[in-house]
Amino acid sequence: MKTIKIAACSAAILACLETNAHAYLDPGTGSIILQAVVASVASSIFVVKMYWYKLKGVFGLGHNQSDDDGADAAQ
Amino acid sequence: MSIAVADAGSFRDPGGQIYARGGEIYRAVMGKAAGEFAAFRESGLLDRLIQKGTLVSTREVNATVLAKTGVDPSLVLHHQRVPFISYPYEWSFSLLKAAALLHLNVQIDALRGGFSLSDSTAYNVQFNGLKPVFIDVLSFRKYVEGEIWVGHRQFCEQFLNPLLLRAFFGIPHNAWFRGSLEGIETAMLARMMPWWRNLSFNVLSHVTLQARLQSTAIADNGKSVAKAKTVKLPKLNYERLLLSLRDWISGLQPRDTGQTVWQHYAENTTYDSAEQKAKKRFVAAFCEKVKPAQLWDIGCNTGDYSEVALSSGAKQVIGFDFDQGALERAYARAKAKSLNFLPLFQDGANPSPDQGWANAERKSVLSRGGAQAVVALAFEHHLAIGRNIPLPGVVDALVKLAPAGVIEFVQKQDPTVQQLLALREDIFPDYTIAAFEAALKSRARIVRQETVSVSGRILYWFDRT
Repeated sequence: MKTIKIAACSAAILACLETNAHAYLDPGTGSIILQAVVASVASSIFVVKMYWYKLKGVFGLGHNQSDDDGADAAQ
Repeated sequence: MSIAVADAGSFRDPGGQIYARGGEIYRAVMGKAAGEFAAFRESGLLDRLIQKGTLVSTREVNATVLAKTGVDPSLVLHHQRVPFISYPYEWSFSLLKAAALLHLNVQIDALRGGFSLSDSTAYNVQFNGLKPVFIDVLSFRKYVEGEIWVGHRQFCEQFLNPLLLRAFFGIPHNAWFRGSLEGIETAMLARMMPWWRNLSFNVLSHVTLQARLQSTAIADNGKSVAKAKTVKLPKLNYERLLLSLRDWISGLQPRDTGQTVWQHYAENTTYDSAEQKAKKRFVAAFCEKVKPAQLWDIGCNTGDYSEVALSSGAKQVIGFDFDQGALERAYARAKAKSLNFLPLFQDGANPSPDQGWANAERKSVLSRGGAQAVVALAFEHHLAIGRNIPLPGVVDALVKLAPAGVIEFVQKQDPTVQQLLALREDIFPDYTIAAFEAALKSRARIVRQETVSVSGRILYWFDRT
């Protein structure tokens, strides 16, 4: 019984610790590391994709962009 | 002249505070933020974005407009008023998508002009008709070479994730977003994502990897935080990150979850066209007389009667409906016909409440009202029969929305009411014309009434001025 109580208390304390760690961590940490990890790959993929759209354009298979894409944005 | 009143939802940025005075909107700009705003204005970007229509119209005014408010701002700005404030949990998929694309476009333009945005909150986008506009002029900060996109996580949670929820799973974001005002956590979305979705580099990076990196950061005793402090993002990669998200989002569509209940209502309605014509004539006559600057169409469906209202004297219509399919069609109609019509998600039996910090940050839909007229066609029976709301309560709520309006009463023998009662006991002995009229007459004058269908549907034009 005592063992169960100790285990339950430990679990409760651990749960609190985890909550605290979570509560004090900047929620954007993952997003920032992500930008370090994938931005250059994403950038390369984007360039390849743009060439692909251009190629499709040449063969008359235009990139089917939604008309809601704020076409007024700088290209 | 009245004293300006501070907006309870404007407190997150200590650099500014929104005030309303005599129907006009002002922004007090404090301390360091004034210098940042001056740099933004002097760069010419402010005017370029305003001219483009992507940023709310803004001009500096004399600080005396905020006299007696107790603030001592470095400068005061006047903003063009947005006709109706709406929140992301009230937007349909198409509206959220339009807002997301606007946000990215503003960021791309800003970056090219040497500025970045300090956050990516969806609440900084509002709609003028269907046209999204960015409203926070204090979000713009001078771009520093190598800086990361600080608003990336927020952009994902408030724009990308809610859109993916609908596009991938067919789940509308509205209820979730309304309960979780910061948006949909990436960790939650990642848990739902089937493995094969990660074949898309966009999903793999913005959803799965981001969630994984965040959960690693929770457990690694500050290692990730230390690393995050040193991360540099080259400007070219920053811009391409924005461009690739724009490319991805512009191709997203709601997953077809089958026909929603009312999607084909306009074509497949229970009335014959003569009855529909009678209703349209009635609404047109009402709008020609009242000429409302803003009309609310409650249960707007695909916007049939909103369109009639706009062509007969209403300047602008805010529509409300709970059916996602109908809202998409209403959006498509407004877009195709360039109507000054904003169809929003709303459940009449559970309208948006006052919520957020101190229950005041995001306002209830009723307190945001500004309608001169209301139209509620084929609506009251959904509340009175479908949701068991006592008929006088339904009438009371509708009449309170505007000084004048048109309400349709649907009698019990009508096929739609019979459908609502098909599998349940009729516990509505008081659902009668007499009870409806008594409720309406005790609150307003009945200007005109007309029976428009063989099943006895009646339109009532009321006026409580």
